Amino acid sequence: MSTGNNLAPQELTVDRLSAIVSVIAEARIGAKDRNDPSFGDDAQVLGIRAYKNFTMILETMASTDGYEWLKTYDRKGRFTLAIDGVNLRIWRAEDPEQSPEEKRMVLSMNVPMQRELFAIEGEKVDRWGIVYQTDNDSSVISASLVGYDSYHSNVIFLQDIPVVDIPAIGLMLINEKLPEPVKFEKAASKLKLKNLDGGALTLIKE
Amino acid sequence: MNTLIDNLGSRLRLARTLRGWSQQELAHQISVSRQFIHQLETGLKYPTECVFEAICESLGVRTNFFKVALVNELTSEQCNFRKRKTTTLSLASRVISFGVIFEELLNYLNTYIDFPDSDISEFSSMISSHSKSETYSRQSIEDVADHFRKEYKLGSDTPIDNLTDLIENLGVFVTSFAGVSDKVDALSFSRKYHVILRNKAKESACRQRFDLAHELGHIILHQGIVTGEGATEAEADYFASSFLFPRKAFVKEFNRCMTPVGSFRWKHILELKIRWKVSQRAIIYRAKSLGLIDSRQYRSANVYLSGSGQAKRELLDDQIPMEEPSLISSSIDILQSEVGINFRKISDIIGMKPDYLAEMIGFEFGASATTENNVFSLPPRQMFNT
Repeated sequence: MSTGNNLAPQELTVDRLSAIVSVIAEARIGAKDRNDPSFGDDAQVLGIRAYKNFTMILETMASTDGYEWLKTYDRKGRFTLAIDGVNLRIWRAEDPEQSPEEKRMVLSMNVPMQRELFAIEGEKVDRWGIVYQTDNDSSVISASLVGYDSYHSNVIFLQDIPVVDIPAIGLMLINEKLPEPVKFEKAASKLKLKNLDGGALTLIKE
Repeated sequence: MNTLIDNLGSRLRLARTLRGWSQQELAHQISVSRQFIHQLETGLKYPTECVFEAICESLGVRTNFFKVALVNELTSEQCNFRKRKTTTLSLASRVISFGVIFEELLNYLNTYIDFPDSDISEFSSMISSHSKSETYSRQSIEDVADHFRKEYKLGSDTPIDNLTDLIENLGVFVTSFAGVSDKVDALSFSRKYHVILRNKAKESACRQRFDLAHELGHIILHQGIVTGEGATEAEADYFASSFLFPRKAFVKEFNRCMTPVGSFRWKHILELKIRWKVSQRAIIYRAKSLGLIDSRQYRSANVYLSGSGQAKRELLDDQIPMEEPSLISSSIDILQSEVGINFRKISDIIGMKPDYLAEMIGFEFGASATTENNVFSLPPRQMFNT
């Protein structure tokens, strides 16, 4: 498995990937806020809500100025996004080297053998994905860009994506400098002693 | 002695309510009957010297406290009182009595010291003259808050760093009353002086600032109007949120607090809280008032705040320092350093024990007490020339 940058398409920049991950992270936070066990919500509901939430945000992002590099597709319920034409899938897994298929199905023992019979030389990434991990609190703690060789069923590229707080959409003003708070000197500086005719004197004893 | 007798009833009642005691409680303290206290307060009877001393001792006042006539006494109708409906009568009387004493202190300080000029009454009169009725719509309150910011050059999109400093610069006195439960948030009145009394029991600077802005709203919007009803309190609340976080800035900056699917970004709301020194609950309320979130989202946000244990004390409350007024303590310091009248002397003139008065107004009494023996007053200069 290679972990070098040389295999990753140049369209998949860290900034773009981080922006996607920040949306996923935020969607999970939003889903967690709304999770109400008294209505029967459980971890499954939270997961579905978070998924629907981030797919919707990414779809909105894709049609927003400044995110022309992003496209989204939902083919037969399978959400896919593309960064400048490079398709990506998103999934959650404890182990970043675990493919989405491995989460869902058990491959027949014959499959690897059959693949050996028709083996072609070398490994090649034919699918890209973002895999993220969550903690016990359902918050996103880490994410990776994975390059997957579906013929050999191997993850042959793995690179960490920083989980940073990036404003997702319509938030360009964040970069705008906001006015500083207005400050005042203490009003005590405006106090004035009255000029009292024949007023009392003070004497300080030695 | 005659002045003392003349004023005894009203001053006794003032000193008693200031302690927050009923007639029965005072009677118990000095081992007399409740009826006797009632008779003293109504002028039907006079105490013996022994009983009088006991009264002074237990109420924390001096003999000369009873020599001052109560003229043009502050009344509850002149006060803007938050939570008046849930406030007991004795609690209300106690805070109003505090206002009476505070006004007497201001009067005394004002004989030596010129306070900052205040033109807030003119602003208030101008607002009243433009208003066709005694009630204000939300839109008109937004306009008043914007106009107020413009008039005093506060900017339409800038947070107020220290609201207490601003209010004192406007010639409004701010002080705190201690030892009263949080059933009274704050109180204000506009007579010779504009005064705002805050409750020291408040632990959050955001809540204190909101209370101050609320009272400022009363001073601006409700001069000559009896407040305390739901409508006037709601108007003052709306002024507070409009003034602390103007709509133009709010619409711009709150944008980042919501995801496109309508859930809250609490991290950004906390950032707004730190920047504007406004509680998360007040931010959510403002968003609802301006139509940026709907009722369902508003409820959801409040459920989240309550569910995460932030109903009374919110996250990052400890990051926003409490604001302290400076006008009164500085006036007292000036009086001591320039005129030689220390706090003990001031307390004597007001007729209260110094530690009691100091506790009431939140003055740090220790420093001036130590210098008492070093300073004394001489008669006016011309007396030596004759």
